[in-house]
Amino acid sequence: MALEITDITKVFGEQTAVDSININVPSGSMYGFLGGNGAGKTTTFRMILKLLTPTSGSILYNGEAIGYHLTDKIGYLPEERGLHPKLKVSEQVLYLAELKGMSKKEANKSLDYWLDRFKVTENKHKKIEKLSKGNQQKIQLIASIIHNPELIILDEPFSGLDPINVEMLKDAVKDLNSQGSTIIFSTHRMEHVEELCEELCILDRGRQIVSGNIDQIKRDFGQKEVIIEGEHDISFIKDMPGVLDMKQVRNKYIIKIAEEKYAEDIYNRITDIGFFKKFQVNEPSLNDIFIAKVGRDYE
Amino acid sequence: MSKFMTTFKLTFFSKLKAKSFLITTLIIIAGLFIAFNLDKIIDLFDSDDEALTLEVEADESFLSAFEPTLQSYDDTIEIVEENGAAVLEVVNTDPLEAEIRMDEDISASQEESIRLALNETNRAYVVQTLGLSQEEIAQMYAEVPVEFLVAAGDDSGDFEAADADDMNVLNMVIFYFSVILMFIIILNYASQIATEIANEKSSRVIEMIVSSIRPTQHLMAKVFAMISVSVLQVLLITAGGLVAFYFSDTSALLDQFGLETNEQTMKIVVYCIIYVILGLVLYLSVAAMLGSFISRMEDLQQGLMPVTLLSMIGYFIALGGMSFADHIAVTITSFFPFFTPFVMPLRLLVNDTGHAPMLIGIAIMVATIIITLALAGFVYKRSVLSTESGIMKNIKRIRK
Repeated sequence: MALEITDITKVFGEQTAVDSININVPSGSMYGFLGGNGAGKTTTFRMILKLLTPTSGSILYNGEAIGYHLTDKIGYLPEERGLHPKLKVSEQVLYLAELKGMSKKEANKSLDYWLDRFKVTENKHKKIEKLSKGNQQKIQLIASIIHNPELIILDEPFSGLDPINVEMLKDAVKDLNSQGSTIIFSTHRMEHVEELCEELCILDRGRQIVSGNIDQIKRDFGQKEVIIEGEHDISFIKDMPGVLDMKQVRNKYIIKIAEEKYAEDIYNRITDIGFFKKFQVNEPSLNDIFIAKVGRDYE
Repeated sequence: MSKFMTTFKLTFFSKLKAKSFLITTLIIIAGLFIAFNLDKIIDLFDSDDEALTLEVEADESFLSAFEPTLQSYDDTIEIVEENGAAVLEVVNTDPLEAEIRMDEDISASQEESIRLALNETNRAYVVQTLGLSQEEIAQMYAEVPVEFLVAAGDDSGDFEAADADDMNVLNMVIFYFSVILMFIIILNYASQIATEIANEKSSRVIEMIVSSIRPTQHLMAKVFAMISVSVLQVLLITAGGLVAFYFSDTSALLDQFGLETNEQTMKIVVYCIIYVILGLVLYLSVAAMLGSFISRMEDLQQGLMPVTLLSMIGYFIALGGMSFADHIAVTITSFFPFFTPFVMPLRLLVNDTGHAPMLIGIAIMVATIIITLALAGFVYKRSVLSTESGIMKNIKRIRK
């Protein structure tokens, strides 16, 4: 395990921001933190980085407590964006890279690569305050990954970007992961986690709702979704065993079943009736899991 | 250490390249050039001392006494026989009475010179009328010898000669220059360092920075960079001042003000330099601590109030305390660390205070600087990620 978070809690005055979270982030994985505002994502990240001291619990990276001796191996993009507005892009990034132990020459070379990759080469000698918000965000991401860190923590990396830039940044994150970096990122967008991560943790108001491998979580969750499209009346299905819910939208039926085995019974029943254009068994969405665990919709 | 140097270099060079640094340094150096050439500049613009032609309507005996006397007071006034810009008419000789009629108002100094010359001539007239001998005249003008004695400190009942109170002008200039310079630089840099820290916090870049370098290390690097910039500025101004002194013909100015070194000068120079540097370090450390409390730029001036207020009190004690420097209140304030850099040099200048109080003052300041920096580090570490609006909320948060 690259990162082991055991039973960490953070209390601010009367408020418990993070409540007994346990997470294991495997080395080289892409780990998603999912949660709305106030879920405890940023507080957890700040505790991982030692910017906040946990009220209780422990955090180990490769078996040792995180401290300033490890910071050169970690890259961090905070949720709250901001750079020195009066500095030039190159001055700002080279300064942050040097703080991560890089030499100026190395940093400069790497900066050129990333500026080119994010298509912002012309901004190298511009002052930060002259850049658009989206470009500032790209520069900040460059500053957090320029030293090729082992562990990258990205707090809401895609928020506020247009779809083209989101794709550009996603590709960069995927590449870094394929080159061996362990990546932890937070988002409130479920589709980003589903697309990018193998592992995730869903947080709600400081509590850990579920965590682990996404496929495993979905398998363990049990419930499946069956989609049937056809002209025949199949309303009898809602009374069959294992059927939890059924919705009809014109000639399309969305059926929630408690376990995958009930899908076979349904299949056998409808094939006797006649032709159906579609019969599909889907894994539950993260939103379904969230609703089932928390008792309300995600967003 | 390398991370400390990274932040130090960034802060140091960005401040050095800032327009405000270049402009203030150049303005002060230009001011010094002007100060050292003040007499020449005054001569250039002073139209008051334009030559005045004075026509005198009086008898020969008056004129023969008055003319050389007037010349000794003011050589810009020329006595002419006719067509003078002003006409002096002696209306009465016993007692001497005169009237001056002029086309245009003449300068106050020329008026004063004529008045003095008339008085002097009158005295000569009176002496002549009384028929005094040369000895009697010499006796009349002789100064009365007075000896000022103070009780000796050894309880013997004896008296000893009091110290002459005529302060060395050069030492005074050094003292005032150092105090004024320190005050200007404190106000300038205190605001800069607090702005720098608060700005970084309000731009939120700080979260990325403190995930790479310890907050205290980062703060110290910034504080020392700013102190180095301010000390460099002091040195540049001093060097600029020396250049200005070297390239200006200051002998007339020095003669005029009697700027000569004495045995106290070296002591004053050394202690003034030490106290200016310690004063800067202390006040900038306090400003850094106050800047750590601030998360919004709107709160900056309010947050810096203590620095402004304390430095202003110290500054005014130093400037106005010359006449009561031996008062116990001044002695007490000289040991209050925020006033020490202003008041200790004053005590040294006026009372020629010994080395012991000076060294105690230095020790007090060094201890206060260490405590302030430790406190600043503590505050900074605990408030670095705070975006609480208002200073009081931040203080509450830090106390938790």
